Amino acid sequence: MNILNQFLQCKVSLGDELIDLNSRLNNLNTTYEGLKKGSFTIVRAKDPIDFSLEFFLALDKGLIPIPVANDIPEIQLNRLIEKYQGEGSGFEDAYACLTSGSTGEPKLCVLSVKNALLNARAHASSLEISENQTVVQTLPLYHSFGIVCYLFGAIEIGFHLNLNKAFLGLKSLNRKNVDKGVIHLSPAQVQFITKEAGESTNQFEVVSIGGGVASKSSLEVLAQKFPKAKLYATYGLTEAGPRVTSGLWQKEKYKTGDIGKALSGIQLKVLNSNGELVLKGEGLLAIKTPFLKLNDRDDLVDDFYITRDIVSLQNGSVCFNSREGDLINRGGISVYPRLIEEIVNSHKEIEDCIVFKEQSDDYEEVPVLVVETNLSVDEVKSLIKYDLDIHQKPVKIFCFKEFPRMSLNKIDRNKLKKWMQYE
Amino acid sequence: MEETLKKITDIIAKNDDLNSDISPELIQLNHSFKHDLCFDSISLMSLAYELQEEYPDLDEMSISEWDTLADCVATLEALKD
Repeated sequence: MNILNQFLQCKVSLGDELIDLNSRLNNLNTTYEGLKKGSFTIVRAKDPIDFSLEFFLALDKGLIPIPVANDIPEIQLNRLIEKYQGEGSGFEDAYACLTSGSTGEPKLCVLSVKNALLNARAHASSLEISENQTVVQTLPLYHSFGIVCYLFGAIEIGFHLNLNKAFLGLKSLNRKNVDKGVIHLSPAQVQFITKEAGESTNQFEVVSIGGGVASKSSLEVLAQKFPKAKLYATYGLTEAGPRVTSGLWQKEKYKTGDIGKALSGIQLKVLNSNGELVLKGEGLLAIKTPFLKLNDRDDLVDDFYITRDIVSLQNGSVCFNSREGDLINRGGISVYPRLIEEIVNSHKEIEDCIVFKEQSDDYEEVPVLVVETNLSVDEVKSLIKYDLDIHQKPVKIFCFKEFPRMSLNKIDRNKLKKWMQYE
Repeated sequence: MEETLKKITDIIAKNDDLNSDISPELIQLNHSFKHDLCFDSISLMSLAYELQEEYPDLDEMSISEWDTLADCVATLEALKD
């Protein structure tokens, strides 16, 4: 059975309503006519059911879907269309996700359907998710995690997939009639839920936290909010399919940063004394994309993929310590500084700009924008208002008429940071 | 409408988790939650929960339809009818 038909057999609801997927497919406006097999096509839709069907329909037509947020800023959408829409990929039975490639610069990573299904099964098995449970979606469907753990997971495991149009707090979850619930949360969502006074729920059996590190104290509060659930800390990255590790949270043993053991079929090791994590295995990097240049020494060592995440390993259990490089993890969402800089720099009023990351209590890391311009901060805000996604929007903007520079005109980042402190 | 808008901006002013990019007293009906206030889905849900104290019939899933403050006000005004 092809992948679209497999999805049509799944039990899927939107909010509180069980959806007839066949009927919704018949009413879909998208046809993908005129696109050749193997070519990229951008998939986005406001409605999660339409999005899911359009994604699987694209696969069914032999296309390589690139899922993106429905509200992606126009300037960014136009760049993607210009670069990829209708372009031949050279692949089949695959889809593509935008990723940092661990460098802070967005790239396109092509992943095979076969391995997405394998990874969905490995992830679900590690969390003991079964077909008689309901997985409540509150993380973005278009991310690599959403594609694999919600959509391909529903096909591979056969659980009831409950899609939603917005993030749900405990108050909303309690209003749902969820039987044997499973929920995956980002650290930012964990922060929100742990602050919800007087709320808890007995409807969930599994809660997983991924996309960043949740603190020991926040997980202890989370356990009180979901008293009947097993809590798991998980870790992954788009290039890996996207889940790599998971571990059961145990109050007495958990240390902040613990992300468990490798999923079935994945091998992990620490590359050097710095603690750099590298990995390989079934379901991992099955397609070597020209966009990622996986043959470069920068990305691979002895066939192991270099994650650029710094960890410590003890008896096969991984503890996440830090992320190397410029990538900003905003509450579980990857934000690419170079993309923000490129977009801001596209305005003629801007001479130059630079994005730093700043630590945040609620969102882990957030972007801060520093601009070389004659404009005021409010004028810069107004200029870039529609260009950036909500996660890309800088929490602070600093404007300077001229940046401090070193020889060869390179920005003196240290001096600039000192200037920011005086502002 | 102005009265309802005032209720919303009062909530934004009082809630430490709702960090609007615009001072609450300057927020207008045509301002966008995303582009002007810089609210993400978590901030919007937080606002919806606060509003439910005054509007118990408010369905928090309405936030997926709120682009501007006017959309939010329209949802709340409709609950009065």
